[in-house]
Amino acid sequence: MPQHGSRSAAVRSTPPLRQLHSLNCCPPSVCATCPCATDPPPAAPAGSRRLTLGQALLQRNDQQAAALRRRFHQAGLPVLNLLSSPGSGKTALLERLGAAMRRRGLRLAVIVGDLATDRDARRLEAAGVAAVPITTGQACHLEAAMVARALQRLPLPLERLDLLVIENVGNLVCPAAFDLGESLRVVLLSVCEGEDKPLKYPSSFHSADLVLLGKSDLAGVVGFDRAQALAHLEAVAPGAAVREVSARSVVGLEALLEWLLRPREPRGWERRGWGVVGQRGMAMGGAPNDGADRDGQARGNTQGRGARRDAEGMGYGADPGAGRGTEELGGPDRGSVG
Amino acid sequence: MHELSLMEAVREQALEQAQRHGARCIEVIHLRIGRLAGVEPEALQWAFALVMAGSLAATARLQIETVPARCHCSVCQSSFEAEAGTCRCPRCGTASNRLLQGRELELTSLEIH
Repeated sequence: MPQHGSRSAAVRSTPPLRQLHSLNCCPPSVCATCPCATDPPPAAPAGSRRLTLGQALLQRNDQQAAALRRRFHQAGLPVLNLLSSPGSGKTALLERLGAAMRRRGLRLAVIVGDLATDRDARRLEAAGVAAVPITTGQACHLEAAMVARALQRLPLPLERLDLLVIENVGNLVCPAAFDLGESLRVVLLSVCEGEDKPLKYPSSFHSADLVLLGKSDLAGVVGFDRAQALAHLEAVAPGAAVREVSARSVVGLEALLEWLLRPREPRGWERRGWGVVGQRGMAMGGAPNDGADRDGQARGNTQGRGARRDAEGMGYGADPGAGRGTEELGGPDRGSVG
Repeated sequence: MHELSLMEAVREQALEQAQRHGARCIEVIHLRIGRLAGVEPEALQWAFALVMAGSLAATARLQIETVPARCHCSVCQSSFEAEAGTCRCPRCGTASNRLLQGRELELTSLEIH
């Protein structure tokens, strides 16, 4: 059994920030005002050696996710990673999204993660959406390796799909840390869950490119305070676009589809509207990309894969400046596209 | 709990490095965990004992540096600490799009013998 006595003193040792300077903690332009000091770490005792590594813990997942991202990009396929609490309505939304896509002659496939059962996958299949289940057992989130294995079970090659959605395990905590090679990360928050949910789960909302306010048809019934929700999202996820949808009343779906299928620049994990910081490890220098993305206009092509191939930048990147303020789309498909 | 799988990744990477450098044992494992990484340091401590048992790191100490979330305000041209993940500048109130630190999940260094 490991000795615990020697460890107790080190539990959660968190030296003050000023003693823990990392050379890459700030871009040069802000270093002058950064409170980080440049004290070197204490020397290791004699006989011991210190190996400085600076390795991302999730480097294996990051590498696998990067390989997936390259593969999706080569196939010209936009991919969403859909996160939410259990019961927010992911599967219902995807059933409706699949129907909307079919009406346009487009093909949706879904990889569905759940701890147990393949019920969601079967529901989607029954609704005419190609769906591959991942039953994780005890894993509370999906990882890139799981997605890679699931791709082998898709009934169609990636090149013949128009959109792939990875429906993550219903969980707003753990999935946030795992890159799945997606083009866009979408967090679904139903109006029944409370306006302050973004504040309670900053890590997940912070990572979102798009926040969907779902079950919008129930907003009045539950007294959903839209302005508060937007204010909280602004605080925690200022780079995310926000849209309202209702699967049940089919509100906002066509406009959402238009928005999703707009050509965008390829998304890198580091470039997801946050500019300089890598998801793992050290900050990177260079100018933020938010200016360029914010100015990017929708190239307005929703005619399917062939047309998208002709547009430059076949992948899908963050669109951080788009749709600030909820896109309220009253009535089926009459709302304007943000 | 994914702190377990994270700690397994720590174990794998730490043991590989220790073996590569001919270590007899690992004395300290240093991690940097950002406050916005979605990982709980205390749960990592719990997982540490479980995962390292029987390995070169069985008697190692786990040292976690918690990295606060800091954002850059383009209006004030300086950085601020993003408390609880809210990215609003305390000086001017502008929401910041630019996270400087806070999502780290890093095996920083090892002390080996």
